[in-house]
Amino acid sequence: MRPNGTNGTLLCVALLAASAVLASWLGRQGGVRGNPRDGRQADVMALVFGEARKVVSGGLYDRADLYFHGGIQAAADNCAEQAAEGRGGALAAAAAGSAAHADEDGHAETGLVGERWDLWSRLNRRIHPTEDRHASGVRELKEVVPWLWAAAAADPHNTLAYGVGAYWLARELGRVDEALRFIGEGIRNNPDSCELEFCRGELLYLRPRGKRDPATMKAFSAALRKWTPEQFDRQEEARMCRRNILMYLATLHEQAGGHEAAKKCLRELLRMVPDHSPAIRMLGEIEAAGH
Amino acid sequence: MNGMRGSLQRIMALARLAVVDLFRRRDVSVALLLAAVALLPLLAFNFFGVSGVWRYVGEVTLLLVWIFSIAIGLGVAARQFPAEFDSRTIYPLLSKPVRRTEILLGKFLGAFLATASALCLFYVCFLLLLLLKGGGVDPVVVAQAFLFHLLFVMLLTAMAVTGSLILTPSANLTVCALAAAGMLLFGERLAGLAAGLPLASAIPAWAVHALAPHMEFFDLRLRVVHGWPPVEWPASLAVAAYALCYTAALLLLADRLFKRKKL
Amino acid sequence: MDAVRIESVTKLYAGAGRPALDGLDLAVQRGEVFGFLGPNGAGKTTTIKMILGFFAPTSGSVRVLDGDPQDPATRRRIGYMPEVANYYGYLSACELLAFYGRLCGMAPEAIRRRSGELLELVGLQDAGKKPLRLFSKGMMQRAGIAQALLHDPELLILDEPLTGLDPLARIQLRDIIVMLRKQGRTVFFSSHELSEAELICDRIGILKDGRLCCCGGIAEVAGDGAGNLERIFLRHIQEAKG
Repeated sequence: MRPNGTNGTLLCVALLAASAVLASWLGRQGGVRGNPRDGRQADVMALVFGEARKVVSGGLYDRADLYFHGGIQAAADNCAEQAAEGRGGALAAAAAGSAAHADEDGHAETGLVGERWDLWSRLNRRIHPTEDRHASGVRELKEVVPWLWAAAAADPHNTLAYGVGAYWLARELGRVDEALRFIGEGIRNNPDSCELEFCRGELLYLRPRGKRDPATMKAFSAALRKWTPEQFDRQEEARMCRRNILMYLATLHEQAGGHEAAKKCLRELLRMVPDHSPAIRMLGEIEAAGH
Repeated sequence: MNGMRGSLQRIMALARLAVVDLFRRRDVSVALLLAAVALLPLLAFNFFGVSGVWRYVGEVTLLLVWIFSIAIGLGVAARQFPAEFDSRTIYPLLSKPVRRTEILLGKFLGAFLATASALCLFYVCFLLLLLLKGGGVDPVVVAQAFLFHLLFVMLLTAMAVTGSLILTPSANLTVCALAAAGMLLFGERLAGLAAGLPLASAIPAWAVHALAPHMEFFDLRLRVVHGWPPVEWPASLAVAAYALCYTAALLLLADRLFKRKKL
Repeated sequence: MDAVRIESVTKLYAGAGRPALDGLDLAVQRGEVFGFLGPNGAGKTTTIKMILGFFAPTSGSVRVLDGDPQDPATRRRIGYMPEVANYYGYLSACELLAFYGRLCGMAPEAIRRRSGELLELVGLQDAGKKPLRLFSKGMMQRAGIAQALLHDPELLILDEPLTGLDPLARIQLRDIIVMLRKQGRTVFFSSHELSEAELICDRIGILKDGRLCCCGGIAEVAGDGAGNLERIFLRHIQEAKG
């Protein structure tokens, strides 16, 4: 019997359903692993998007930011403006532990026609949510991950996507090993990135006995070695990164008994920020101990 | 009463033709296959071993549902009259005891029902995919999103049917597609844009804001994907009234145009 | 009582230099087969479109079966087969007839019965389920005849019905027209096929530049009886030019 149009459509639906079940099962088995480290995949992305992949990657990163805000663009924009770190939007701000809250009303300005008479805008606000909402709980937070992965896959030089993605995996979802694998991939793709080395150091530091792991020290040392002000958009960011690296290194050296190395780090830190109280306190404690 | 029933019977006969046409042309099958090609790799992905991640699938699927509904809706509605004129089937049609208004309503209803039936199929697939991914969507929001989407399709098909009586098929498709995509993307920001313009430019911008079909009213993807509550009923009724009034205005215009059309 | 009565009809298309129909007067009696002849551009199709109520004349009046052709109730009594037989390719012949039957307000059972009869009459009984896009031109023309006869019309209007038909189908169509005449139905057909018109028409009318050159029985139009219809046609056309 020759299938007519309706039978053909039903056949397509059946095929789609069967393929979807198979694909979903494969997904659960971890069969097709999201893994931007695959060189061939990066080549394919470059081939498909060319130089536009940076824009695509940025867009995907913004999508992750949007997911953090319950899909509200205005809230994400407001939060991004207020984000203390200035780069990477609210997600990065959240990763840096300083998520800022957006202004509640994202109302459009009304000039010629008063707010009262602009029925369409009023209706729009009733249809499309405008309140600020931050994702919370693993159930919501994990939804950000695919977009960060996609941002990194689209442009392997998007260090922000690697950094924030690793943070999200480790701190919000408790998947430190996956986070380390992801950041390791970021470092392989961006061997000169100080930020990624620093991020790796922080992840290692957070692990149980991470403070005693030589790999942690190695990561922060590499971060300090790779640090150049040119890698950062703003000078303040560069200085802050170096300060943090020095503080971590001082702590690690001190714990390993490397008092001289710790003092060296602290002194450099104090040259940058003379009133850095944790550094002043730590240096005082080391010197008081007679080292 | 009998005349009304006869009229309805003729309108439905004409509408049925468009539905049969759509499914026999396999447009829906092609859309489903394209969707499968786009979605199956996404379904198979496992991001860092994190299970139960579904919103990205929901978002991409709904985006495809919207794109295909626009493509199918425009394709079906925009070809209703040109196909009749080009193949000259309009002549035997007009020779039957059927009014031009009935032909117009039949063509519009056919395009709407054809697209709506394809849309039903797409939403079933959407729910199926979410089920496989363990997505937890609120059924009330999904039902509301579907109904709003139907209103969108109604407005879109009315626009394309009307356009097909004024413009050439390609120009009609281009104008309707641009209007739909433009309003979906920027409709919400038109007022803000107009407010920021100097007076001379603000007047046309406000006119566009006031008169253009606000397609973005019907897009509830955000509520579905991000778990927001349903739209309150007064706003829902306002949206339905907006769609109905706009569609009625377009069909009245189309009726006048079709009655004046030189055949 | 006339099946078609056209009185002093003028049709002027916007932008056209001369009228498509210029004071046309024509009466087709009930129960006759009327051949509407004329060269290309004479105004035959315009006349047919006005008889079918597709548009109104610029001046003058058109009455069909004592009604206004723009009234659907009048059109319910007219069957029409267009010159270019093109129907919905995705439908089968049976579905096409069912569609037109529904438009004519026929009951489903009546549609089924009548479709069967008509498909047999036009020789498409074995192709009823086949999509129309697979039909040859001749088969499409036969489907066109079937749809025109579906609702049992009192007046049948055939626009160039013989175009694209093979000899066998021509004979079949001729037989159908003869059968309709026997049933007392009126057939109004336009054609270039003068020999066919000669064979089946009770009366003919020859149109030239929107005016009727002559109208009447073949013998009447022939006047002195010189030659066949083609000669008569040429003579009248030349007279009209002169």
